[in-house]
Amino acid sequence: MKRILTLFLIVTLALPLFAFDFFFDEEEPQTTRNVSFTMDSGVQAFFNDGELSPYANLTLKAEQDGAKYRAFAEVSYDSTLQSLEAQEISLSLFLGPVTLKAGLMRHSWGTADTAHVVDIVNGRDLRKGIVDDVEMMKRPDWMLTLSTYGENSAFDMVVKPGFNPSLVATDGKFSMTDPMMSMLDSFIPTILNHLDPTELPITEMDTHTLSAISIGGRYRFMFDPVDVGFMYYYGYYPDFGVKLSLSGGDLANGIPFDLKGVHLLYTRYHFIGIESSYFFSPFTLAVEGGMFLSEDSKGTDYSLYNSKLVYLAELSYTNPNNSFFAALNYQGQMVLNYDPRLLPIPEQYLEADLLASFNGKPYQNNFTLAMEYPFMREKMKVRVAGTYQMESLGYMVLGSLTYDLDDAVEVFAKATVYGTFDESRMGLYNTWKENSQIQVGVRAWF
Amino acid sequence: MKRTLFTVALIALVSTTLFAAPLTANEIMTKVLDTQKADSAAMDLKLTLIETNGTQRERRIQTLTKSVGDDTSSITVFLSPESVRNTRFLTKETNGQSEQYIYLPALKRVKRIAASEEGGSFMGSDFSYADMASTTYDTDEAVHTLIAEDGDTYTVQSVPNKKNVYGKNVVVVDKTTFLPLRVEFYDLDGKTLLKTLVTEQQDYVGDRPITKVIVMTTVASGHATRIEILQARYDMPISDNYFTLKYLETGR
Repeated sequence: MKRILTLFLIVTLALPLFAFDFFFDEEEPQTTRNVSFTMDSGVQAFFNDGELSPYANLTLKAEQDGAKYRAFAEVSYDSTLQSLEAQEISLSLFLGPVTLKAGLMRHSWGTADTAHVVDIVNGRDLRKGIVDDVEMMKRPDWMLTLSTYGENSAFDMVVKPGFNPSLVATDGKFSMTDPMMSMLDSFIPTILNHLDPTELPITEMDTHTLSAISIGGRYRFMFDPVDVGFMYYYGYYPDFGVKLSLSGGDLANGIPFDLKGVHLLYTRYHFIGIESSYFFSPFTLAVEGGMFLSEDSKGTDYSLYNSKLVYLAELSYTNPNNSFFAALNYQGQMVLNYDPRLLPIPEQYLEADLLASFNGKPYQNNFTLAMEYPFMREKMKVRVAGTYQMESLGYMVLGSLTYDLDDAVEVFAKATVYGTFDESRMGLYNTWKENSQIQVGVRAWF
Repeated sequence: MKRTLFTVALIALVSTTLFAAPLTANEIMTKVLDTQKADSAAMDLKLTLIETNGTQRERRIQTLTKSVGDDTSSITVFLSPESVRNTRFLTKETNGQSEQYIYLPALKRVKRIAASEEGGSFMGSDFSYADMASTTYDTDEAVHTLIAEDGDTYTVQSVPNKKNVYGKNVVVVDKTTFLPLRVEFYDLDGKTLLKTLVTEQQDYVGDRPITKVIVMTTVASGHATRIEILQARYDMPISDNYFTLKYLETGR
């Protein structure tokens, strides 16, 4: 067995790298394999409480390419989350103009560079707050995709038998459930009889059944210098809503309800969207927009998300000579049929749109500015990004400096600052305002 | 009979040697370009960036180039280092207009970018984009003057008609292969030496001579870049499917 493993490793590591089959000897099978290992390790310190914690992220990637297929697997271990997770396990089949890909993966929609409003196929991963890799803030999901290309067009279709909901931290510094519990506490005992939240029965909708199937497609075409894509998706909003199980209660007579349990459920919707980019050298203007048509079309069910409009515009600049990149991104959403009046109804206190809103407004608007500048012949790279949330007056700033010691090792320092100009307002960055941190570490590829 | 044949052969040889018209600078530079010209090419390259302290960084790329008329398209795939592996870069020319696209695997998206200026550094190396296209000028692009000649080499000075990046080049050409053995690149003032290119090794692909290993050195910094052609194939049919959005996104 050992010999087989050793032989496998030798064969795997000894095969040459090829991008094109022009370099294969005709007698050799046209197969390549590549295995790589990445270690990202360092220490992070939180400004607020001075907490200092070492961390290590380890990633193993394995890929095999044949003439008609590609098999890919990526597995990572995150010491902060203490979890070993598959990031991608996929098999692609290349059948002439059609590519079929199946497995656990992320599928990307949208034309902007810094953020998206139509990139809706995967749920979100907010367990570590906002990180400087947009793709890593998406939770991989099991799906089947089909892509086909014309001369100036492309079509891709995605089918998900069930779905992975968004991931949020349930404890720790980036916990999203603690603020929810605080909200629950705020109206206990006025309208709810107190129950120990730790003893509260919490159930969740089964998202891995065929009845939770999602299906969608995108068609893109290019008329130089404009690209336009249209998309449709029938699926579930990956963030949960809360349905309270209540009994008794008569608020007119001041009798609070008994809270029997909490059920987490997800909202069905149709999504129609558009993405487009217009290139006018050296700038690119990208726009994305769409409408979520919720199953709760009238917005009367507090446990479901309402229909909403989303929109984005981004102006970016890339200098081809030194790879300097800058982008200004504006994005927002408008929730339809949203009633901001807070009625003495327990369910409304945990209304899905209220929990997702910024300061209780049925709309939100964000500005993001991002820059990247490589210098010293690309040995050193500076990245800065800042987001300002208009309704909550919250902000987040990410900054990083990386330096390549050699081709396989880089050292870096990163800082993340969350804050608000008004602490009384509700919003994600306000919730995380104590979580500003700095990281210093090393990343190595093997 | 034998003597007659020998005499004829000798006369022919002497005539060729004594009376062959010497090549002009334009003819030399035309031969230099013709030697390197190809309708299509597939190259497997290793770029080594060499710091003044000797530290080296390697980039491995493979590139396909195809010319149709005056329009040339190319696709470049980065194989290493691991941090940029599978980044793909497409340049398409249509009626002389160039479009450039890049696929970044980390973003899983294709992005169109501005065409690089001729003087911009190629991948942080000492080669500019103009150098990567050609290190010598065509006869209609520059005024060529033969300034020296010995038994093995010609030395030609080229002053470009449009001085975009360089004011003057001095090329030492191998008389046998018509490959450039050394090129000196001067600033727009025509006097300050900016970079030197040295051919360290020549080779043949079939009957075609190639510069297998070349080193470009920036005089001011001492930084150098070595390009080695690991494999090359020329003038074979290349499908247009390589120069498409599909190939950029899928690598197939």
